[in-house]
Amino acid sequence: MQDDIWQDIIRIEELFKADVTPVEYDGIKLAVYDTDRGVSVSAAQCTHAGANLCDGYFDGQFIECPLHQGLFNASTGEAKAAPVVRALKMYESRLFEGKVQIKL
Amino acid sequence: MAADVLTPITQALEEGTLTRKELKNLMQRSDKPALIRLAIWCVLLAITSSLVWLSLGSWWLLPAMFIQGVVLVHHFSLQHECCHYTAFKTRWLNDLAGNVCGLIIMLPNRFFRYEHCDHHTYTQIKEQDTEMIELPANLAGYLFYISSIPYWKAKFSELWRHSLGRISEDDKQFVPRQEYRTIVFEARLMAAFYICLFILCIAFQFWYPLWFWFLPVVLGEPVMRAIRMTEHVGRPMISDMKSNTRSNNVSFPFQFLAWNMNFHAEHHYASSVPFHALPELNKKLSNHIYTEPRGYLGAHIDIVSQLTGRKPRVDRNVPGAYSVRRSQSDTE
Repeated sequence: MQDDIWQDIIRIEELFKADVTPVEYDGIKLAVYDTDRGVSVSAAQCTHAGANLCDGYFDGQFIECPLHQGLFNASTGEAKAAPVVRALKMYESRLFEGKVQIKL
Repeated sequence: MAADVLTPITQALEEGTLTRKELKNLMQRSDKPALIRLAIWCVLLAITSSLVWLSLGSWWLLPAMFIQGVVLVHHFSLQHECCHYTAFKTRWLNDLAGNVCGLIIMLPNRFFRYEHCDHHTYTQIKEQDTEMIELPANLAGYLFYISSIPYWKAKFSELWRHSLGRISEDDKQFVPRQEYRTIVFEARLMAAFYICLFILCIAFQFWYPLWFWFLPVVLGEPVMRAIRMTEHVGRPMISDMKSNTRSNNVSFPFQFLAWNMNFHAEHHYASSVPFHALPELNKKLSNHIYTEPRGYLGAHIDIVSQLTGRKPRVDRNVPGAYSVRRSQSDTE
């Protein structure tokens, strides 16, 4: 029953290695990060001005907004540098049978 | 939640102008190019400072201070790059260099960052773009802007206002509430530094800061105003990045001083691409942006032509010019 709420969003081999991959699931735009600490998933939209974070610079730990260079921790969603002040919406995620799954 | 926006770079990716792999390669950061350029920069400053030193007490002082000033005001270009965190890979180096540059040209770094972010969101949209330089009404207005009088008036007012702890309604459009104290603190710090230096100069009759720094910056600022005008003034007042920004093909010395920011349309397309990769980005985007082949001079010919009626003004009959509306979430 617990597994019913985990949703497949992308196959692991389709992820950009050490980068952020854009994924759309059920109309939700997601950013899937291949971080130094493993895979994490957030909403793709920056909380400041709405830019798509998947087009930003990712260094393995932090994702930088492509429009204003605000910074988020890609594992926790914490807002790390101006102009962003609000954390990213993160999705609980796991790797299961070769796929990235999120809990919805 | 902020409204979903289509940024220029997302648009470029969707249109196939750039591939994601190309973009990610161009975005790669490094400290080395900026450190090398900064070392040359310091040598250049040593040379221009020597010119001022050698000309002290003669009429050559004026041209020497002007040359020194042209270099000094270009600290704006480095500060601008730092505010995007694209000068250095090491993030704190950008903060350090940005603040030093800001002190040199009296532009508080944190406030500039917020203001400049807003400029990237609402580029060339009248009454929304906080850095917008409007097309002057006539030649007199054009020359008045280049004189830098309105610029310095605005900057002194800004520093004074923030030093007094006041955040204006316009500032509140782009500075988050949580950052008001930081903006006030940095303004007070900067003002206190200038006041202390001024007092020391008087107390010890030590006037070198005047000859080597303050007067050169005042003399050089019109050059920077003229360069800043070439970026957007006279371009269509619409949100389409393909036409609202002007890149300029300029000579190597000016490109060096500008930290490649003459590739301005490329920068607006992908502001996460560091200065050292902008010439490469220029090759990818050359057919998708507006470039003035005659450089800064050509841009001013274009602007003056609009002021003198030789070309239609871009601020006349612009359908859809004000289609972008400020989001409340910008400063929440």
